Amino acid sequence: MLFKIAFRNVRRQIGNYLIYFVTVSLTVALLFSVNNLILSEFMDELSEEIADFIQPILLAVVGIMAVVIAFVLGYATTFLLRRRKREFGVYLTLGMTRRDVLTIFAGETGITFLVSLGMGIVLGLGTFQVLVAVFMNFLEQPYEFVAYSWSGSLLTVVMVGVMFLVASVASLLYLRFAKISRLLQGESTAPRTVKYPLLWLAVAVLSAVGLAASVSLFTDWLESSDFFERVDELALYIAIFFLSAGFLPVGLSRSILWLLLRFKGLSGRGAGIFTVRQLSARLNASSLMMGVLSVLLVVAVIGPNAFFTYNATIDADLDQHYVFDIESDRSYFSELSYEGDLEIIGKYAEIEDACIYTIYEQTQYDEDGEFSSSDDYIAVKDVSYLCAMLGYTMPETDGKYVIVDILAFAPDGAADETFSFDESKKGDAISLGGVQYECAGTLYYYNTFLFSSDRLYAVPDAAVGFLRAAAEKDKAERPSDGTYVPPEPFSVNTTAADNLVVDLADGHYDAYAMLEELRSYAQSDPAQNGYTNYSVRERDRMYQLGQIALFLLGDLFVSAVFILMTMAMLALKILSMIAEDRERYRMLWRLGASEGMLGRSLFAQMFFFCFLPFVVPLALCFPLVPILEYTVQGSALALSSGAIAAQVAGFAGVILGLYAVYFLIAYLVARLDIRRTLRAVG
Amino acid sequence: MQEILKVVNAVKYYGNGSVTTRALAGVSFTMEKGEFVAVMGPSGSGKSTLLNVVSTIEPLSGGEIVVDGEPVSTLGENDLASFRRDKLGFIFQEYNLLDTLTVEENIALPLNLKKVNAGQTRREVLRVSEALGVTDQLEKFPYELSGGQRQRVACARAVIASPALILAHEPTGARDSKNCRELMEQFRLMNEKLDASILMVTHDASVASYADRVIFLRDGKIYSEIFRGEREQKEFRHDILNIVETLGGGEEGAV
Repeated sequence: MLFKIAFRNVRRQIGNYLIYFVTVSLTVALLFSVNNLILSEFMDELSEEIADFIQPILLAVVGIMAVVIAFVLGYATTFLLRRRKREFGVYLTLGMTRRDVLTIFAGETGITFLVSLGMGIVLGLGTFQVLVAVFMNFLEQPYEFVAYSWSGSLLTVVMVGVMFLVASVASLLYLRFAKISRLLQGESTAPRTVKYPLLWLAVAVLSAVGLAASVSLFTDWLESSDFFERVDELALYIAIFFLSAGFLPVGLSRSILWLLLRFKGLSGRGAGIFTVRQLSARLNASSLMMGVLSVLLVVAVIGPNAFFTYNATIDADLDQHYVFDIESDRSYFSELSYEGDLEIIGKYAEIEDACIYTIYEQTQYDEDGEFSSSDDYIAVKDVSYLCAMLGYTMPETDGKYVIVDILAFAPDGAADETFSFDESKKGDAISLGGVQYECAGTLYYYNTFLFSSDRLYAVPDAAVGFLRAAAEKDKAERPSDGTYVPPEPFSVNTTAADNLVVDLADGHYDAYAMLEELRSYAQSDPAQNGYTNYSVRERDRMYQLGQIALFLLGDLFVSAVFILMTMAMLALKILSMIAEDRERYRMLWRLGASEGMLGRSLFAQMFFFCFLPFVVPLALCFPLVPILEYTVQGSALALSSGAIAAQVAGFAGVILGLYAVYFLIAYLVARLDIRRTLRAVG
Repeated sequence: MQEILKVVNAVKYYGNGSVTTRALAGVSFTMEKGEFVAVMGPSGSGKSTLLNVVSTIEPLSGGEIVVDGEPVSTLGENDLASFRRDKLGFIFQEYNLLDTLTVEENIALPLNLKKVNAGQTRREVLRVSEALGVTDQLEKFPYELSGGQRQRVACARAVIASPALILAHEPTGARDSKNCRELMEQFRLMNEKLDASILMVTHDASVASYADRVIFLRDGKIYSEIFRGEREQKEFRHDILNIVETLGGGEEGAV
């Protein structure tokens, strides 16, 4: 019988439960997708080390968010109760016991929750695959169906169940102990006027100043060269920022409408004064909530924008750090040939060009056998080939040597160049194997990521022959087990280490597998100290993308939860308030306010109420653009402010779009509610 | 005298299909400008329905109602709102002051809805609040007022826009006799000093005895009507009670 009443009530109260239903369904879908993603085989697509590191973090984030959702839904449930407390008061006066009423309400919310759970899981089945597709696309891999995870699905159901219990507690306690007279009273007591409006105006102004100051100070901090040593200052700026973001809506809620009321000419026409007074009372009663929601939305706006901006710079940063698709250096002990490496690489991707070159290092010792100096040499033809691979044609050297200076940055005026050549050292000479070689000039290479030394001597073939012979002789004399032998006084030691650079025709391939095979091949080196280093651009890109993808997943999840919860709170709270205002609307209608006028008043109240928490996050988008622009300035790709502005605006647009959906639903439900009240007999 | 209200054969049915209830079964009467008319009758006699159809809150099923020369049954939804705003003033049983507005804002509300400018609104608020003795309460909120003060504010709001007709629905319901008397004196004041035309529904003979005329309804029809004329209020009340007894319902109050 009681469940029949509960079921019938849900059917009749469909409008009231719509926001609740939509919110819980979307939340369940979100939880289902994220839990499945974390616990499914999708994680195997990423490297094991990332998954092992991030999986527990993501699960912790989901757990914390579930607690937040439970409390928000609990708060939302009390709004639903407020809309109908008169009805429950009537049940009690008709002779129902508290237990009956509690059963009815628990039954209603339980039915809504179960239906939402079902709908959420159905939605989640789709959104999970969409999420997988988005992430595979993010990782630049083709979409493949990923099986659902039983543990992820079960975790979702358990979480939602616990959330329901937590969310119901507050309302059930209220119903258990509320006096019948209070329930029958329905409306809340007459809203009081704002106390100390000037003080709250000062709080609003101070918060606005605090917000601007913290953003400005943060920018200065970011631009300073020693910001890592001033982390305590950063903590202070962040504290000021979030306090200001929270207190600005609180101050505005309690002062701006008071200001408006002082100029009655602005609000004294039509239902204006009614609108402003209603809003003033409502905002005053909800100002703290406005502050909290504003802070949540600020977090929701900053996080994804920061991650998306960082993501956009990954490729550019890799371009700078990786001159070639694959780079490798091998110790001079090694007895392996790079031909074997090229064969392995060729299995995974088409090789466009490759260069195997040798770096000769000649070390001189003093009279005590201590290190005196060291020079690095390379064949001039190898430098010429490397230059050609990088799109630069080196000048002819005519049997002379060239100094290769490696610098971090091009000098002013040559910012876009990678290489430059001048004759500043022309005429200098070096002696190798008793032969004098003349210098043809200096080649400047503005990138420190290819060669480990800052200066190389690119020498002609004859000198290379001498160096190779010297290196082979020294190697033969060294113990093969790597035992250290102190150098002789005034001795010269020469080593020859092979290097490989490869350009690939294919952008994307299974870099993880390739690197694994290359490392396995390197381990087959018969030399005891024959290690080989590999730098594979695609593998690093996949690693970074995988890392950011999961962090982004966590961050987007938090943002989505915050945004959803904010919308739901605002919509349900304003609906519960409008329900309490029914009689006021009816009174106004009887006095001659048209339905259109009441509709406009309702719209203005709801819009302003729901929009206030968005003021700070949306205003924040303006300084966010230059700040994000600055943070990526150090990277290889300094994103244009236009591109960042488009991204920030896009994200703000998504939030506003969601807001519009919730607002529209809430407005239509409220309008219907008011129309029904006006149409009621008497 | 100018005719302010004309009700011609007013019929009102509730419900539809096979289950219908006839609340008004052809009521006809007229009211002159400046007249104070009370409507009485037992429960279910149609007096509240009569007030609702005159106030346009509910549509008529048949017949015609003309207020200040304007036939209300021909008006559309938006015109009805304008009609209520321009022609009618309301005084409800529970005062129905908006608790979020100050006294001044409550009184000014009908003028705000008419979009009268701020200066004129302020002048009118002062005029009626002075006449009804609430000038000192203008900055307060309704919850800060006594019951009597709220009554006066409700009266001020009803007359500020100089409506053609003031409709009062059980205005003394749930009040003590002192408050009832005060309110009725306010009504007489509005009627005599501000030349307000008042149509009041009441079940209380003592309250009705303040009116110039009492219309008695039974089963949705006019059963009888009596004019006060030159009679003393006490005598008029006695006559009202006599008719109430023959009606077979109603209650007697003591104001």
